[in-house]
Amino acid sequence: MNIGTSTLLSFLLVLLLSMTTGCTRSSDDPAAGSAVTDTGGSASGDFGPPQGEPIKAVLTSPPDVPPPLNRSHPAKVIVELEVRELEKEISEGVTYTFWTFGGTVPGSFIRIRQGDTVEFHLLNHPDSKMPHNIDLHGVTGPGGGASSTFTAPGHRSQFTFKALNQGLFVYHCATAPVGMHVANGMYGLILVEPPEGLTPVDHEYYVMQGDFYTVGKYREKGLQSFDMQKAIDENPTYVLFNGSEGALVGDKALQAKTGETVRLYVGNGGPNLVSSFHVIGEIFDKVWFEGGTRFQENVQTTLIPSGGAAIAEFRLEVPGSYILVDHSIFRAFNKGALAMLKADGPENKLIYSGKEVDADYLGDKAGSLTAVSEAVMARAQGRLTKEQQISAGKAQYTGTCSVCHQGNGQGLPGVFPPLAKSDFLMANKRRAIETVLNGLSGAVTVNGKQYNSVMPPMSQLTDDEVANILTYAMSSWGNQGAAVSKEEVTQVRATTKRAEGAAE
Amino acid sequence: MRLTVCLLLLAGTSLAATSTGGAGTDSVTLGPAKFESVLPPAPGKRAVALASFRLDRRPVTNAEFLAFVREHPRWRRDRIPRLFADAQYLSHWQGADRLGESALPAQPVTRVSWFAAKAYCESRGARLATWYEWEYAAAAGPAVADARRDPAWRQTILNWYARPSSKPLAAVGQESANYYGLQDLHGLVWEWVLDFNALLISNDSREQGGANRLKFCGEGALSTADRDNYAVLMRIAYLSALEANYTTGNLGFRCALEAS
Amino acid sequence: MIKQNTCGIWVTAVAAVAASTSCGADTHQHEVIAPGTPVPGESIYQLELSLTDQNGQSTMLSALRGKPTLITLFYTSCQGVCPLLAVTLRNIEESLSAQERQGLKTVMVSFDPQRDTPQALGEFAKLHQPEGSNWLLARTAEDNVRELAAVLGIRYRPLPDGVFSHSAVIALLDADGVVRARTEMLQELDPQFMQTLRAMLPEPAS
Repeated sequence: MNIGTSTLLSFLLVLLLSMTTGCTRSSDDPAAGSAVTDTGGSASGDFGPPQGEPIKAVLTSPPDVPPPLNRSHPAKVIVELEVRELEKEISEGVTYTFWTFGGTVPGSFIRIRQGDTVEFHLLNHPDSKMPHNIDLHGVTGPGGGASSTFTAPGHRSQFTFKALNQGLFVYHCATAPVGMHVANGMYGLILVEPPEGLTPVDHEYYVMQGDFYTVGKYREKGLQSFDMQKAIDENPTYVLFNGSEGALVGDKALQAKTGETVRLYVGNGGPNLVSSFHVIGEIFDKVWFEGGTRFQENVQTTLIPSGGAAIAEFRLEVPGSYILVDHSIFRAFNKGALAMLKADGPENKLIYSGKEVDADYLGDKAGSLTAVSEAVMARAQGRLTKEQQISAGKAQYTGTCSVCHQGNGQGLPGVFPPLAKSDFLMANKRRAIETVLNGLSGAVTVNGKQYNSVMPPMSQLTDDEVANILTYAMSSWGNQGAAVSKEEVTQVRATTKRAEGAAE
Repeated sequence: MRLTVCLLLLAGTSLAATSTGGAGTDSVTLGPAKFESVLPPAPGKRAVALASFRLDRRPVTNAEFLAFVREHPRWRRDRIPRLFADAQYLSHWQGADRLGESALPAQPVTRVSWFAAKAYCESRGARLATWYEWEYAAAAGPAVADARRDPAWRQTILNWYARPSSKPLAAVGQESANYYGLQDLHGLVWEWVLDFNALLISNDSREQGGANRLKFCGEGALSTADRDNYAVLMRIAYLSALEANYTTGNLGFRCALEAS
Repeated sequence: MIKQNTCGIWVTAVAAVAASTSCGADTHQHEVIAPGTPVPGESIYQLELSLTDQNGQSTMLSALRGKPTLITLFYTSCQGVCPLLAVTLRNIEESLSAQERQGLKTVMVSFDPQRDTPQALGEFAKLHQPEGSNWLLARTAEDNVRELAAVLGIRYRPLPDGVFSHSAVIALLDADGVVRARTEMLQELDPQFMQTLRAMLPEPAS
């Protein structure tokens, strides 16, 4: 009796809901519909045998996406994907041996149409040390192609599948140990367009998150090895978009203009973390959550599981830098999960008055990268001025030091000593460098007051960064010191010891 | 041994004399032993019994393999049938019976097929090591016979994978010896084993012990016991990707022999 | 004429052992092998190994040259998949016309030379081969099994209790011994495999 009533109630509720949606949404937009309509899944994804000549798929490196297919019939599509094991930069001065599909992390973007017959070739470069295979989440069949593509170095495999389900799918290597192959960068995205295609937008970009596990600490220089224990503990050293800290910042930032619509194909390769994907200062107009057929509207942050994807679309109204982050926010600021989209165009004060997009988050890195990269370039060309060091140092100070010593260098009374007009800081340049590199604990007297707290070693900073930060601090807030050079820092780093566990 | 190779090279004479005899002094006797393999021999059974055997101290070098090829010309790269070696066989040698700059005499020989490796060992009155023999010998650390639980040892092996293989291979015998006096079992090249095609690992490693029982008669695909011993698992994955005529730039071998 | 020539090659290339069994049955030879043609580099007949069949007769593997051949590895005491392998071989043959069957050889080689005596092989053959067929069931030395498995892409290993764990593969060789198709489909016929096979056999008389 009870059960009957509730069933009836829910039936009525569904009826009511569907009636409501029917009234408010245009009925010819299947994606906007409620759960009442569906696309038929794999059972409706076979549009018969491939027509026309076989087509070689256009593959693109991130952040580029192959152009829309604009095709009205199923075709035979040939995909050739080459596995390369390559040493590449994971962060400035830090390299890592990535295992890649197509030479990049994430791997080449593949774009096909629902109902296409895909002849897939996996080539394993002769220089590879490892056998590899590929599991495409867009494949219907056991293993997703993995067992058909197990390929030794210097060999190639082939298999064919029909893409029955539309959507945005992850692909990845599934060779033992699977976690290690994925952690080394072996993942990418394959887009299976619905038969009618996707609505045109001004820009399409390809962004994929991954977590990385190195023996050395975050930003510890040199070639870093994979750390199996950290991977098992799910404790990544880096969390990155597109496989490198610098992949999508500075000159490599994604570009768009105000008034334009941007569509991001966002994947998460993992191997471990789930991403809370967010663009600072934007709201996604639409998110095809989980890479599926339906979209949600007006979304701030969307969850992207490991081995999953999402399509996010938004129109840019206000110029500026928009920062893509994993909003599990320590990953963004301490592990590298940060990318940038630059929007050019006229200001629109009616929508947004100020220049800052998100002061809290921008502080660390984003807004200041120009000064930093200018300083790097100037130093490389041997024309670095003290002013450039100060600008770059200010940016880096904001991210690293201001939490304790405060943005105005005043410190916190009784807890963190001041840097502004600080006798301790200004008395001895070498000691200042040592303090930044090696940390300081125990009682010190600054401007007549005693402080007794611990400053951790900041040895993860590069010599350039330490020089710039100190030049800034020793030339600001009433301090009038000389510039600190990179060479001075290098010398101190080489001749002093850091506490165990600190980055070298 | 390496000194001899160099001297002979300087003299420009045939290298035939340098190949160690089947029971040469440059091998080590191991076992008999019982040990736990990462590949259980049968369901519910982990211990593997090994008879005593001799194993080469180091992988076979280019110089040694060159001597073999000169003595047995059917294994020259320009004469070998495709059944026994793919097109990359010894392709880094300058000629069919010459090493050249990209194949130094003391480097381990690579781009050799299973058939070629097997024939080399047989020409010495020896054979390839079996997987269990190899695994047993390679479980040793510098100071202990079984270092497999030592995280530092495991990490050293994993570090090899972090080094890109674009750089030339080192000469054999540069790494310090393990507990038994064997060198280069890890960190230089992969090595063929006699029963490489006995490792019935599913091509999709996630299937282990899974549904596809008909594919493998008997107990089905092997399931690996020691799943966090990644260093060894990767070697098994590697070997199971091979066919007998495959050759790759990181794949060499060493010989073994029944201890008399 | 052709027949004689073919026999001649075998005799010279492989020694007299080959002559009796192979040539006698060779009436439907349609893939003509020119005299003196060397075995192709990819041919499994590059292997020099000798088989002992269910009649106790020895023959070189390369003596099988001349007809398309179905070949698989098995062992008679196998309780799992091997009977299915035999059933599959039988199903393949029975799907062919009598004339097509004449152009085909079926060979099963044992993983287990110690226990698979000619007698055991003979009993297995009697149990499974279709009427009128002449399957060749054979054993060879252990080391040869490893090589034969290697060229056929078959993985196997002996287990402590006398069982062999192995992948179940039927390979199709062309007349020269080059692997042209492989199937792991059991009982049912693999359409692609059958297509390749039929293309090798003499046209059925219409």
